[in-house]
Amino acid sequence: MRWGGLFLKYVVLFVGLVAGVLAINAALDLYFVYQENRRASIEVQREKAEAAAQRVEAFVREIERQIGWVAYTQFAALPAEQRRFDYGRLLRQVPAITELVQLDRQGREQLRVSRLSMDVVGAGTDRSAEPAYVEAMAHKVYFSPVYFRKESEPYLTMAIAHGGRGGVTVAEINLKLILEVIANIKIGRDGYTYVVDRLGRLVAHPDLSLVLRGTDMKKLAQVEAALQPEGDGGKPVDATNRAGVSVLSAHAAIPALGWIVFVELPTSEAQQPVIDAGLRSLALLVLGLIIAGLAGALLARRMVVPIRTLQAGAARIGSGELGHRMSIKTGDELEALADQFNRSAEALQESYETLEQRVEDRTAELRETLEQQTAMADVLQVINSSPGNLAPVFDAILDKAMVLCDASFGIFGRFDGKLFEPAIDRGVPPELIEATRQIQSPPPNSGLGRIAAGESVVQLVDLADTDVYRAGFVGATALVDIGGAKTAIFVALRKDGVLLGVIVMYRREVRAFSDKQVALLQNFAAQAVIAMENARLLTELRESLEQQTATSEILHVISQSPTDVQPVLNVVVKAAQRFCGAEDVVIGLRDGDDLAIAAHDGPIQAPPPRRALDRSSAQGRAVIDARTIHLPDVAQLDPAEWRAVITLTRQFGAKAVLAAPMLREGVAVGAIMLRRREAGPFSERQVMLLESFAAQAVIAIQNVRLFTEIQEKSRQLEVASQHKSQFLANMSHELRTPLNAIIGYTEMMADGLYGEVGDKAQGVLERVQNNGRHLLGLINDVLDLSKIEAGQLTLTVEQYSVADMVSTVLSATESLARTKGLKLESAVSSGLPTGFGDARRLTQVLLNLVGNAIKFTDTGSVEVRAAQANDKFELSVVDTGFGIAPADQARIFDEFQQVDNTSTRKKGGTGLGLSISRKIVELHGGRITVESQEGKGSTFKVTVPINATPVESAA
Amino acid sequence: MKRRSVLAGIAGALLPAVAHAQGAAPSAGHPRRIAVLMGVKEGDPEGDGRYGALKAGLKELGWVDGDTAKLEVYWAGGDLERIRTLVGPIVASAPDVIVGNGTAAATELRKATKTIPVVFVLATDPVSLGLIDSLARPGGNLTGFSFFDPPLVGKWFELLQLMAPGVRQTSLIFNPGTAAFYYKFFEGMPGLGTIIRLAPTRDLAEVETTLAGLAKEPGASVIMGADPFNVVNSAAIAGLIERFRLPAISVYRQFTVDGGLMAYGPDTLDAFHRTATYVDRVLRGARPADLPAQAPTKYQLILNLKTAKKLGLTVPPMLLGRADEVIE
Repeated sequence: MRWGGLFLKYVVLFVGLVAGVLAINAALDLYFVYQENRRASIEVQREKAEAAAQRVEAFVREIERQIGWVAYTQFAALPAEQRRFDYGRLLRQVPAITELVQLDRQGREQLRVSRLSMDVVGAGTDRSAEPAYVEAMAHKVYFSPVYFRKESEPYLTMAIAHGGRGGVTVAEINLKLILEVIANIKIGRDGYTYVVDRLGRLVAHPDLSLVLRGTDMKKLAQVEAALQPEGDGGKPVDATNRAGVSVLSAHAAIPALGWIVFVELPTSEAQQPVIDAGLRSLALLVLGLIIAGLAGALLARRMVVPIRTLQAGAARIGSGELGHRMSIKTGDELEALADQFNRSAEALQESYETLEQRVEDRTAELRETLEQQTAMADVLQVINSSPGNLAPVFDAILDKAMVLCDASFGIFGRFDGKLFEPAIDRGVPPELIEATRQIQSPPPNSGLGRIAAGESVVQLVDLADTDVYRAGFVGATALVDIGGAKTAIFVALRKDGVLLGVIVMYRREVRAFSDKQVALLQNFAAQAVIAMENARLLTELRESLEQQTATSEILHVISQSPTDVQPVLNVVVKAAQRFCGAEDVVIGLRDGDDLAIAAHDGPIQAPPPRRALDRSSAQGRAVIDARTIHLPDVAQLDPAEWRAVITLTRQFGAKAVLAAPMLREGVAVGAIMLRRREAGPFSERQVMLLESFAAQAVIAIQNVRLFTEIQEKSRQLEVASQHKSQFLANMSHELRTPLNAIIGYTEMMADGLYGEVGDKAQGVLERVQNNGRHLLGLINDVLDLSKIEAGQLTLTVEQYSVADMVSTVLSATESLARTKGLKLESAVSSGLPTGFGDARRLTQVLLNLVGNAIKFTDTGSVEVRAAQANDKFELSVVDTGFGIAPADQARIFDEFQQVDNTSTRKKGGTGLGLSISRKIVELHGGRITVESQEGKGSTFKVTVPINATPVESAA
Repeated sequence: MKRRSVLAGIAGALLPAVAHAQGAAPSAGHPRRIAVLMGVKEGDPEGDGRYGALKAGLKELGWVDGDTAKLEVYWAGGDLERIRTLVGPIVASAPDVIVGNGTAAATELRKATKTIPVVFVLATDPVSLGLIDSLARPGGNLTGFSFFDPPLVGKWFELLQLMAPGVRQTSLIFNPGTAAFYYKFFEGMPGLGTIIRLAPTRDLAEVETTLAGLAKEPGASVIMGADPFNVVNSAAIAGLIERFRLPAISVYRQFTVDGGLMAYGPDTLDAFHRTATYVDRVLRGARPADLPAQAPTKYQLILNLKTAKKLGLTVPPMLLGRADEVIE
């Protein structure tokens, strides 16, 4: 840097000046601070000790004041409930009070309210000899010496006389709570406060454990000195605390309690102000250096800034920002240089601008083409975004066509095979619409006529110069004379040669539409055709969808009302009405030899609710013949054969009837009937739909019948199963309660809670415990099994780690294996995935298998292996035990089966473990198998899915 | 930023080193290993609340999990077998200190190690149950924070009677696996055995059977005893008690949150928070034998007025006046 020399000079000057002044100042400051500090801290410590003593006393006095609220003469006369309430509230208000006792005037206990035990009313114990009573009666208030409950917690007994004929309230105060007071007294940073009683025992200290341990503080010189009767008045002394740290110690007494409050501050901290002053000076020195540095930097900056501006400006102009001008007002060569740059930029900018004009012209041409393409794309998008809805499509087409063809007004007409009908128009004068409304068929030589005859585009350049106009055809004259149209173009909309509509554009001047515009209109016409075709297909789709919806609605109602057929019939009636296009629907059900009306909807009066079933009515015959009866015109029927139909229809004004039987296994359970007030055949579709509705109504009726039966059956089953599980639950509870007591007591005896137990007795206790646990295990097994049998055992599926499971099982069985001198090993594949299943139950299975293996192996080893096979875990327990004979291998998983020989007999067990294990594994959707060779050992293998989904019932 | 840290460095160099305490202070270089055996379950409000309180307490003292400390937590889920299974691996992993939650956990830890410092929390009546020699001088490698002493059982009954004057007897529900000490409790109170009966239950099915039986007896009520099993199943047991319409009290505040009628006892979260102070002391070199075991200081009474209303009970002013918290 070129200006570095100057910069350095300034910095050195500033730094030297500031540092020199500050150094002198600091030296003087430090000297005086040290002198002052010694005096001040001694004074401060003394005052703090006084303040601390006041706060500790205030804590006790506040409790005294609170107790004062109940210590009034009439208190003793209050009912016991009221006194208890008052004491209870006092306990809540003052957390330090653990117990309150009310003594009467004779010193007998009347009420005791405690935080920790039951309240006692009217015990009457004589406590008149106790100092609490004697002293309080004599001096109104009594504070006991500090005592230690359970030899640990410091307590103070406070007694307050009620005055007059009242007695005394005695409160036990937990002094642990003073901790909060003294912990909140701030003595510098590392200073602290503590309290000792008149014996030098610690009453309160920030380290509560010292208090609870009953620490004797007399060993400290300053405490020993303060306890002397001719105390030194609390003047601070240099001393050493329990940790051996040198401290400045001050104290103040609380004469009422006989306590002394100590305040101690480490000597090092007391001298802190001196250190602080040193630090301050140092900080000032550093600050001076920084200011000096900054000032130097500022000077240098002033020279560099205009050069930077010049550089940045040149860079911006160079990057094409030709409008940029630099502004430098330094009045020197730099300013002149900037002006030179500005002039060059100006010249450049001018030459660019002529170039831009030429580019703009070309762009305009491109834009026009683009507009047309965009219009087409827009229309396509409208078609896409509004399927089935033609109005927006026609709107869009007409709008775009008007603009792009430069037309005065336009019409979008639809053709239904006979007539043109204007669907949408733009800018057409209302009078013209009025005048042309009446036109029925355009003459063949008119524009529309020619389109109808098969032409795809007709352009009439001068309407006034056509035959139709001259012939006075209203359509043409109105157009020219009222609408002022001069030129018209007609473009046909055709689909497979069939005319669907026409787009017509008019101009109020004689000017032919260009080829480009004609082509554009043809494109629009093609798009409109596509949109109309789409809409037609969509309508068909919608209709068939609605039918399916009706069917599914009915099925839904069937499933929703398994016990009641009526809602289903109601829905069927409604659906038939809607989809068969019938005015009136009736459902009749067969009831013995009668036909009963079950549902009806429609304007025609319903047939009588119940009538005899016979072949002369439409529904009757449909039921009896089990086929659909279709009567298009009732008036044509033979009265002899159709007596009921004719009577009923004449009475109600129906002319045509259709009835479909509701068939179940070929037999009709009823019929559904459509009625109409006009004669004429029902369509094939209506017949088909009615038959399908009839079939659905049958399903509903059948469902209800089956459901009711099942419900009754399952209710009976449930009652039976409830009785069974209730019995088992009760039974196991009755067995377990006393057993739990046996185990609980022996355990505590074995743990030595009832005194030392001899070795022999210990052995017996262990046997009692083992047998008790075994019995409890049996009861639990029986309960587990019964739960499984009842299908009541449900898995709690959660995440588990096979490795964790194996290590849990190993640590639980380790001691057992060690006792028998067996090697217990595991081989768990690394990187096994997390499993999902009932971890507790699976652990139970593994524990059972390992337990068995240890039980039935006398020498050698037991090994647990875990590996992954596809989406399953394979857990194997391999032992070197007796093995199992092939004949027994199949039976061991059944209940109460154990391999029956003398050696296994001795091992005990219920034979339930493997059976339960098998069922737990099966509930997980897994398998448990065994391979064994007698005398060589056995391998039990459990295969469970890694992501188990509980199987409903394995029972 | 840099300048500030330089200044701080200079200041630090000038300050005389002040020793706060002996032993190793928290340092990120050597995280200390704290094993925590929770009697209760992870994921339920009481369990998470307790562990959270312990962690927060440790953090306040500079023991940040994953930085200056490494917390290894084991959840026994109110199951004695699980406690027994967990104790072996915990002791084998030789942590710097073990926190044992609950009487059963403390008892099993005491059997398993004589050397690793154990700080118990919510252990009931630790002196009588032989966990420590005395409160002031625990003596062995265990110390910590006790839960409550036998007379509190009577207090529960008294509060039940105040709330529901029709109550004549009560049954204390507990799991004999995780809270066998109740058998011993009743030896000191021979009069209570007839009105306060023990109802050992090892699973929810048994709880249901027991409650169904009690619901048929006149003047029956329930004490949901202090027991990790009961904490783990708090919501389920509260639901069953509500179903059988029995007046009930628990030591746990969570019980009332779960819809139970009332709760009275020491603040469990406070106990866990204070446990951190002893873990800190042990990590800084203190011996459990020198740290006095502490009894709780903060007791709270919580009433659920909604449940009282459902049971048709009018809460007497005597109770309302004493309540620290009322759920409406």
